[in-house]
Amino acid sequence: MLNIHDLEKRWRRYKIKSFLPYVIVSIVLFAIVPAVYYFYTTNTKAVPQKKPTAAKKTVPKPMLPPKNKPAAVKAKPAAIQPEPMAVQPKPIAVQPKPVTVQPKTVVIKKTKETSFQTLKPSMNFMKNIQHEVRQPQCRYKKTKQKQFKERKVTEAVQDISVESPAIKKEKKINITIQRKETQNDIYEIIKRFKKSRNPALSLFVAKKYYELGNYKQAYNYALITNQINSNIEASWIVFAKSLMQLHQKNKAIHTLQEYIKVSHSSNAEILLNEIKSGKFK
Amino acid sequence: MESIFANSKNVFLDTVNAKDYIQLDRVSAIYKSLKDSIAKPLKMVLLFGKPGTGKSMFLSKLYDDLAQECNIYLYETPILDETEFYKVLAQDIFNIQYNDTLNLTQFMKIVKERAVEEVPIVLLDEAQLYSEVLMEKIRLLSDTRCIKFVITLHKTEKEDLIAKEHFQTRIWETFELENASKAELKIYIQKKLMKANCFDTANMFHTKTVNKIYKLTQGNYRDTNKLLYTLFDIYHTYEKNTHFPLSTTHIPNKFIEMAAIHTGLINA
Ligand SMILES: Nc1ncnc2c1ncn2[C@@H]1O[C@H](COP(=O)(O)OP(=O)(O)O)[C@@H](O)[C@H]1O
Ligand SMILES: [Mg+2]
Repeated sequence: MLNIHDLEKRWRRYKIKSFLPYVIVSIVLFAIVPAVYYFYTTNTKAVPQKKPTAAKKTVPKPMLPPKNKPAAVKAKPAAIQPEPMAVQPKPIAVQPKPVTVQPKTVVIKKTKETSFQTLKPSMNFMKNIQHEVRQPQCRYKKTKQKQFKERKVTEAVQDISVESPAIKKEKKINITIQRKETQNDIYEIIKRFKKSRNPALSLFVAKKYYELGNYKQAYNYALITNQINSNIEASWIVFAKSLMQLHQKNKAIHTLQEYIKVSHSSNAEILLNEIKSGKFK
Repeated sequence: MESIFANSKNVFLDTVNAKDYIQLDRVSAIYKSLKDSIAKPLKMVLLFGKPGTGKSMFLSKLYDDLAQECNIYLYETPILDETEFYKVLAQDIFNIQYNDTLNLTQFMKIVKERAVEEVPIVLLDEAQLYSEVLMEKIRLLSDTRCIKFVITLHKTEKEDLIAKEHFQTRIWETFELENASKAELKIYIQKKLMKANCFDTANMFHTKTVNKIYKLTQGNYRDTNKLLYTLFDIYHTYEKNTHFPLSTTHIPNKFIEMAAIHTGLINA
């Protein structure tokens, strides 16, 4: 059930947070305007004395008693001013995040793909997604355009061919973004798995975790997959490999032996031999 | 008495049912060419797009539309095991029950022997979950032109490209589904509500409100469903807890933001 009070509280906090930058900006503005005005007027009044410090010296003069005091007070926040200024861009930067980051990843990824594709003709779309090979861009463009002339993707690809030199610089950013994306992919799939208990999903998660080097989770999800369906070879293999990575060689060997007894799986046998002969890295 | 907010809430349950399919110009255009391409002697049709862009909905609609006239089969969750995959197809398409294991060569033989003029159409949802090996075999099967596969993939853009490349060597056709535009989102929301006779709540979605929603969901159908489900849940909760009636002329930003916080579209 919806906890409306809690939600309202969170909303209020969110509102305050999102208004904070504006409040700071307006405070700063309120501080700057009189300060600037003050410096401006005192500077023009004291024309021969160029420096504002010199201008300040003129302040205590009994000449302008009413203007004097508030101006001095206001001058203080002006000195503090750089601080809130530095703070303010942060909260603002938070909001556009989802909008700006995405197009970037799209563009970068596409170039990587298109500029890497010829060496390997096909396949690999589950495993080797990360490091693919080169392919002339035009081929992709043509087929694409034939189908959907108005699609955005084609436009993106065309853009890239012009901008390609700029892309190298951004490669590093690209890597972290991808990692996050796979993480998010995994969470998405875990969510769906929890709903459907489909072993295809948990196996997918196990494999992904293994690729990411999270062997504990890879082990867990392979185990779950095996519990749901004990006939999936790939799952047993991820399971055994994860055990190896977790330094449980004996358990890995035992598991594989048991599985091979039931399934006569040749892939499992190959892995078992690798492990036994120490070839498994 | 039934609550209009409770009814509206249920409109946005995240379910896939061909009867709830909403016609949107762009989607309908793609749907039409997809239908046409099925009639062509193409071997495979690939439907891809980010999660929540309506791929499963598309397949379900296609299945529903063609079930009367065609030999069509829909598999919403992937059949992981290879033997199992052939067995299920043999059973469903050719009505052959197999108890032993069935491999590609054997299944291929059945397919060719039993080939009928009207090529069976097999719809596979969530094809990104099939193993590379099985995918390759599905390709081989479609090369016989005795079975036509329509598959959906949802992946990150990068993986989509690989997937497309995967099919480049074959005769295939791809269709990409995308998030809704602002205008489409408005039509989507209003039509969905009106279909359930929730006219009052449908009228609450002015352009400004829809733009606000669009900002949060980028027009993703699934995210929009989640957001609006929660929005009406909030309305429904307020309705039960307060005695004065809630305005049905417009939706306060507060409610939308609360729903977005609850669904995680806003971090707070
Ligand atoms: N054309 C449409 N008409 C009605 N509902 C749709 C349409 N497209 C998407 N939806 C809704 O959006 C949600 C996500 O769609 P879905 O097909 O499951 O996406 P995907 O399979 O691409 O992840 C579903 O709940 C579905 O009801
Ligand atoms: Mg789906």
